[in-house]
Amino acid sequence: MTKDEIFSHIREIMVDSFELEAEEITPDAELYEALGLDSIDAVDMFVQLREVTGRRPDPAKAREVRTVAELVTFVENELEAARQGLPEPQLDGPPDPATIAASGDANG
Amino acid sequence: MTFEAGRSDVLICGGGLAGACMALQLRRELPDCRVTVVEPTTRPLPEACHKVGESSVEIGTHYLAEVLGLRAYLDAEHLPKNGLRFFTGPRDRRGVSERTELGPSEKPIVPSYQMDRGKLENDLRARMVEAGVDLREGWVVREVALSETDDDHVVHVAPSRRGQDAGADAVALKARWVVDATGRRRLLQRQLGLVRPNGNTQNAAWFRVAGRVKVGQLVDGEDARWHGRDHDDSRWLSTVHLTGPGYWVWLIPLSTGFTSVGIVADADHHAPPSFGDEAAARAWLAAHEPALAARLEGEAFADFKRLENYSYGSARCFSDARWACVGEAGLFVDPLYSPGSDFIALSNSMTIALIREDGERGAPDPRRVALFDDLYRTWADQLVRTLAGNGHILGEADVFGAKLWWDYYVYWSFMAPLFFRRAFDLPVERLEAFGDVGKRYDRLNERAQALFEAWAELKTHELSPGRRFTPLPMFPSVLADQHLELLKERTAEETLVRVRADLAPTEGLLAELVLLALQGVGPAGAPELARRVGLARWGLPISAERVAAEGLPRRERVQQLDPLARDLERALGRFPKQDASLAELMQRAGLPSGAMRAAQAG
Repeated sequence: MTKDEIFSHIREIMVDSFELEAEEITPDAELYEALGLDSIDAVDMFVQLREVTGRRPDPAKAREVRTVAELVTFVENELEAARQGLPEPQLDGPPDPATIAASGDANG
Repeated sequence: MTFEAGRSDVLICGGGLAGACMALQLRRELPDCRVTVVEPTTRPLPEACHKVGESSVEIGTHYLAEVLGLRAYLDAEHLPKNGLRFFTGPRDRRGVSERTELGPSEKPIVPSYQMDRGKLENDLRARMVEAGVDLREGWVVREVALSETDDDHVVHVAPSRRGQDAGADAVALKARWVVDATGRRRLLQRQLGLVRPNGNTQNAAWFRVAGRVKVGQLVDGEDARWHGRDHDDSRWLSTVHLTGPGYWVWLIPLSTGFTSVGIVADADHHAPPSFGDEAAARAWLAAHEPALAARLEGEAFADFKRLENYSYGSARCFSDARWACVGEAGLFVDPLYSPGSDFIALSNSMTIALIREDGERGAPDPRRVALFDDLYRTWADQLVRTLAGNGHILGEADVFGAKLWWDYYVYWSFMAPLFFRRAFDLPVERLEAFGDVGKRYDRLNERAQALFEAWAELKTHELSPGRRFTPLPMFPSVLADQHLELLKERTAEETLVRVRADLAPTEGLLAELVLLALQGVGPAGAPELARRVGLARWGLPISAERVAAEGLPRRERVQQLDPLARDLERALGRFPKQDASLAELMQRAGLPSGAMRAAQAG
């Protein structure tokens, strides 16, 4: 998957899930400030991206993602990790908004 | 060999799943109790080609794994189940990948299993013998002479024609308790004239094929996104349902390598002879589920069975005259959601609570007997309401998604905690309090089911059109929390407090579902929907603020929603913008927003 393909896939998810306009979703757009996502949205987005990456996201790495461009890079790295057959992060339970999202809020 | 004259404390007619579990539970919980099981068939039972009912859900799983202590055995010998998964409508799109997939996005933490029934029943019989149960294989109960006094019942048994004791003389056995576990034979129900119709008129056919039939094999390998969703190859471990108007087809994998396939259809849409034998079933699948029919080409059916009008009710399953009918010997509702082992768990555990009380007091408390009978048969009635008559809903992925959210939530809020926390052992007064709360859940459930039916029939607008996947349960969410709550240690009293407190959010959930249904039927359908279900009398808590929130920008709107409403929307999505506002739709339905609470139904 190319960078452009990843970007348009992310844009598709955001338009479908968060009622955003495609034009708002630029590489520089900040997820939590400009696009107005909250921590629950972040979890839902990372879960949907698993369809592409085939891997559970590492919460520590997910938490560092703040812009759309960084999210594209995150997916690229995940795809590379999948290609190399690196093990998935071992997690105790399902994805948790408190650990995955950089915005730090709890429930919207 | 013949029976020695002797008596047992409990004589169980039938050693199938219900009877074997009953015997094992008795040995664990009342070890002084002498238990005899009379079972017509003899081992070895054939694997795979034996009985329908391979899949367990939460109550039945908790029963087998924890109450009977079979967790290690189930983990080792059967398959972990990846929840219920549905591939549903819309009706003009038949390809499996083009339908909406409804199912868990994470492997469920609360366990359930796919069980090979032949293997399971062979193993349970061996365990019965080890546990000291007097197991008599190759014998049939001919008649039960129930005692009308405190004397023992007399049970007349004879050797079965092909058993190892064929030709031996019939024997009369005495027992203080008789438990009927004869399955669909329903020995006592028929003898006592207790069989009742229950309003479910569906028909079914099922068969097994050797090898794995995975839903992924029905979808082009090139469809990377569809296959990518199944990132750890666990989809096939779900009970997979392919559904369309008036029917559903199941795929269940078995640990012995076989796959169980079933067709269930309601009589309004599909006449039973249309899938009455193997050739007809193949033709029926070719017409309704062509990808599955193609996959099954060349696969021999290891067995085939059809059942018309398989569902039945009962006028009484427990008696203070020291008898009970457990599992399918009492009633059978429907295979949808796999509740069969739940009914075994509930009826066996209730029966044992009565046997224990009899041992302690010299008789079971008639009030407890009446409460159990009411709780149990009411649960069956509610499940008939929930599992049958969904002909229209089965073809509408959005309505079905909403229904699943509701059905799971109610199951995990009332009956599952009642069983997990052994509320049936509470003193009668406290159990009555449970029963009263249950009636309130029942009333909400009847309303919800009527709403789904009317919504599906009158639907004009699609919720989240083109949606490919609806996570159920979604993680994290209020629904997933309710599921995980089942794993926490709580006393029966704490559970009663919680079950009662959860009525308010359940009512709030119903209110949110009404808002979805009104948008689904649009301004033209809203008055008819309201009329059909009697919406004006429901008195649901829909505030003016809740309605106004619909018009706000997304961020503000989702912040105004309570967690349950937001999670419902995360799972099911939203309607595309409509001409009519929610306030107008409510007005069309005769519901001035903010005033519904005041209307308080009786």
